[in-house]
Amino acid sequence: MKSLLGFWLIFESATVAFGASTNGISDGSEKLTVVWTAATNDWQEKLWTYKVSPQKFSPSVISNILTIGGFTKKDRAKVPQSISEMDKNAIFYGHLEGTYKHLAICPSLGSIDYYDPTAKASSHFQKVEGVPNEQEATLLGLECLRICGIDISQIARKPGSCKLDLRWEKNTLTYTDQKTQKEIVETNSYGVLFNRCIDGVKVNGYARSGGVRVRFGNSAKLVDLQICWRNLQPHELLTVPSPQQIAEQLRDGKLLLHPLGTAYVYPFEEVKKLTVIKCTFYYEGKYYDEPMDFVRPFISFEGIADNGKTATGVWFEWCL
Amino acid sequence: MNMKNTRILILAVVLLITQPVIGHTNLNFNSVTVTSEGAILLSFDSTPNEFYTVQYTDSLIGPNTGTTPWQDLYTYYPSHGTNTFVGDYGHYDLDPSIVHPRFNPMRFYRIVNQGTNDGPAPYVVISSLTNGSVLSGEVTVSVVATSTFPILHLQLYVDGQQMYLPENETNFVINTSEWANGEHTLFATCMAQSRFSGPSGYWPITIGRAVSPYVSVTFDNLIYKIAFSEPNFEPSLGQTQRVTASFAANVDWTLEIVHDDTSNVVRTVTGSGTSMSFDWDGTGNGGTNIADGVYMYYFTATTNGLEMLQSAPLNTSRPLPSFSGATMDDSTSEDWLPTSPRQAIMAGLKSYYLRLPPPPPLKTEQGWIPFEPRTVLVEIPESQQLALLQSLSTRQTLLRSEWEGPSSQSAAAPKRPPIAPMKNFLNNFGVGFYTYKTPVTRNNPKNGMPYPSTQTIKLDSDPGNQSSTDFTIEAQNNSMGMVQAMKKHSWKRAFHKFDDSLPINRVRRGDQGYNGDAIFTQATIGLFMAHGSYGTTLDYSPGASGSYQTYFPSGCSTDGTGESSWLRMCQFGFGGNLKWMGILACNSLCDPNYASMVSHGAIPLKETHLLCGAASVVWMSKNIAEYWTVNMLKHKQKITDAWFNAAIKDYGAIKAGTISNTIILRVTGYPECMDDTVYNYTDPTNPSPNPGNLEKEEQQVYPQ
Repeated sequence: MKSLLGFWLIFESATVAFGASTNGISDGSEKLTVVWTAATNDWQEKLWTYKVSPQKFSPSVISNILTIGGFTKKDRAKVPQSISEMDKNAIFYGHLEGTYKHLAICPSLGSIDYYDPTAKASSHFQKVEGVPNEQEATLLGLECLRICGIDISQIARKPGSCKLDLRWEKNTLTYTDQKTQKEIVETNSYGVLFNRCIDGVKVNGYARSGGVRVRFGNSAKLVDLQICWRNLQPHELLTVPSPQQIAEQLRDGKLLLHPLGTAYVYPFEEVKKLTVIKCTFYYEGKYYDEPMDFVRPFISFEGIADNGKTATGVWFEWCL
Repeated sequence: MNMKNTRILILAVVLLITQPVIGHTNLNFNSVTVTSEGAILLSFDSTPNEFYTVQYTDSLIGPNTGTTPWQDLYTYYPSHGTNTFVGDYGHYDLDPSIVHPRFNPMRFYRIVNQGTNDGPAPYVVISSLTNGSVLSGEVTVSVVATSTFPILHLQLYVDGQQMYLPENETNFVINTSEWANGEHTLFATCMAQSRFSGPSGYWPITIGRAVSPYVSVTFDNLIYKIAFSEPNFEPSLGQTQRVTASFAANVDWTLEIVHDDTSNVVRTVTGSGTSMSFDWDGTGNGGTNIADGVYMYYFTATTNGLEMLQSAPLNTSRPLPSFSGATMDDSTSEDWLPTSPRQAIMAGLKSYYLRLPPPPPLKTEQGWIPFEPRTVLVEIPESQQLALLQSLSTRQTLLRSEWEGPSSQSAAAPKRPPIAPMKNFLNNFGVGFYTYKTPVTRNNPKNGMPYPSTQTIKLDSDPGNQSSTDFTIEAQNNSMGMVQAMKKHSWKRAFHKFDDSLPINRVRRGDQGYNGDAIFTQATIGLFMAHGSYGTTLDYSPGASGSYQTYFPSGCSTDGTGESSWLRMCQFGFGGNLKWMGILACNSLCDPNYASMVSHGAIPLKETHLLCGAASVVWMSKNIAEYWTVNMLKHKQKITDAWFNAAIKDYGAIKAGTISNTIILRVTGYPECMDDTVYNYTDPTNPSPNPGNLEKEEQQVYPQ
């Protein structure tokens, strides 16, 4: 039933988008036939471009993170130059050197970076115990979001679903047991990655480019917490082109097609039929230690280009 | 002090060579200019969409070969349109370094046409500046590039001099006080590539190159022309760092030398006048010993109301403007050079330039080359200096108009290449890589069994992996990023070798009958970039001990295409000084080969603590090496975290759809070293050429 409903939605949306075609899903021309099978259920009509301004992390959020990290006010330290270069208003706790824990709060970047290397075993000299599994890590991660003041409604969902679009990060430690000469593999940390969504649109890239990465080690202690949560102010409301408009641009050769796995430009003149099979809306993201002035939306498409002999997977983008 | 106080006249002779490619415009130099610093600006006719190699030589006939030993100064230098210009300021990040032309009696140049863009040229623009801007102090120059291809390489030039790569890719920070006041030209270059080099694929790699519109700006500073005599200051070698600056008014100035790590001021010098010079011997106030490391120089100056000439110090050690070429650049007042004793004394200098008639023209295959008038540097005798000073002392003639800018300024240096903010080196590093510019088909490696001798190793994807994908751009970008990041943190380059300068036997171990040079043992941190394959059959070569090995093909042309052109993991020259090694190559530590190599003791770490590699195919992205360095040295991360995080950051910036596989990085090493940072580490308790107790950590870095 679920799949039937999905099919109907695709068919229906394609019909709405193209209307005039006889079978409801294709729009041909002498040059190029565009067939649209990508779901358009989540198609946005308007999207904002956002201007980035300094983030105001509330005192309660900072207090919560200090508590998780076991820091007190007296642990506040001079901001290392490598961090003050990125953000003159940064606050720093602990010691930057990688064998110690630290917490860096960078309002200008909208980022928080906590790291405690002692929370996980890094060699077989240290015991691995109490490392959460995927489910436990997810629950702990959600709890982290709550105490960091992040509204779960702003976490990306799977397309067409209310399920969170999560990724996990499992780290293992492998060594040879000197007695048995067997290879031992132990999971020494488990992480969960939450991507941010803005107005229901996922931020492109890793959680560290827009979202939250949290990783747990022994006894579920926090190893990593990286938050990239820029403060966004609406700047300009943009009208999103319809699928039909995009198909017209494709037919006219105004959009560049790239074979999947490359940015090489697929020879457009060879394409006889293009089937658009997937479209995804994104907001731009950037690694949490890099500044951004604006955050803009774009649409990424996947399709199949058929030149009459071979079918090639291709991708293209529409930047708003 | 390496600076020469007396200079022979320098004549920049320019030759031109054109490649026999149809449709190319004949290359012609149309001007050669020498700046007041002695840098040489070359301007030549060009054709849009072409790119060039700019080569130089200090001698037209090599000492042993009898031919001209041309060396690359710039490669893949994009055309600026119908007229292109570039500056020779030396290049201290190459190995061997190219010294600034002012240190050489003569230098010759040629431009070689390398080809034409085979990909669409990107669009690049300096977005933060407009023509006619007046700039002072530290300025962030934002460069924006757009292309349908991934942007691989952005570079900012000031007056034709390449600036350091920025850490965040697009924002270059320059300190305008490190140049003369007056007009300067900024532009940016960009390369965009259809895909990153990785697994061989049907779709070709094509590249577009472009240059931004020029932006003409004026630098206007109270403190200007901050300069340093030593690019890499090593008092342990007896060097003295001569720090000089000029002021646009008579000022009271202070120079503070600050230890970057502790922010402690270690040396303070003050004075008054229109220029300053200080010879730093590397000690703190009162001659105290201070730590080696990164030191920045902070200048402050406040106008004192005195006239310019009154305190112009005759006996100052202010460096003489050097001159080395065919024509003098006198386009701005700041580039003015004294041509008489009087002018020199008024400027606080002890020498002037005397222009001599040109030598007769030289006949070459391309025709007659006329020479410009020559110029020599003449020292003013001491008696004449005093006489001139006395005659001038009553005059109020000033070289410049009154300073009308702010009455005080602060400036931090150095930011401008080639200077590194350092006092001695903290440690050293080495980079070796192959670009595989020329595709070859090579025979598979032999399996080491004496009989039958024809048995070869089966590789993961042979014959596909036997020809080599060219990753010149990414490898050069990565290595240069690493070299510059290391330099900024006071790490010395032990070597920086690639292609023909790195025969594979230089990398091999010396023992087990391989007689290699183990070049990486000269460095504390090493990075090797190459293609990588894994064997699916056992290898019985010395050190491999019947394990499944991983293999790296040489890109050195003298290594041929046979057995000797393969480097096995078991043949690597680890140990010695080498503590941490990175191998950026496909499958260097992949399964099941990794476990096989460990169980057979076939990863010959010796004293090397950790080996950072890959458990999967990797793609040559653009900044991994630089990020690894920055993570280790600046962010002080663990070696393992630094490796993983570098890849996560770099691959994370790549557009979705352009990488087609999962990438897993892996770090192996002695258990006690897994927590190593560069600043806090443990030596292995039982280092071994065939360790069996190695551990590994791994992380999926793409997608994440």
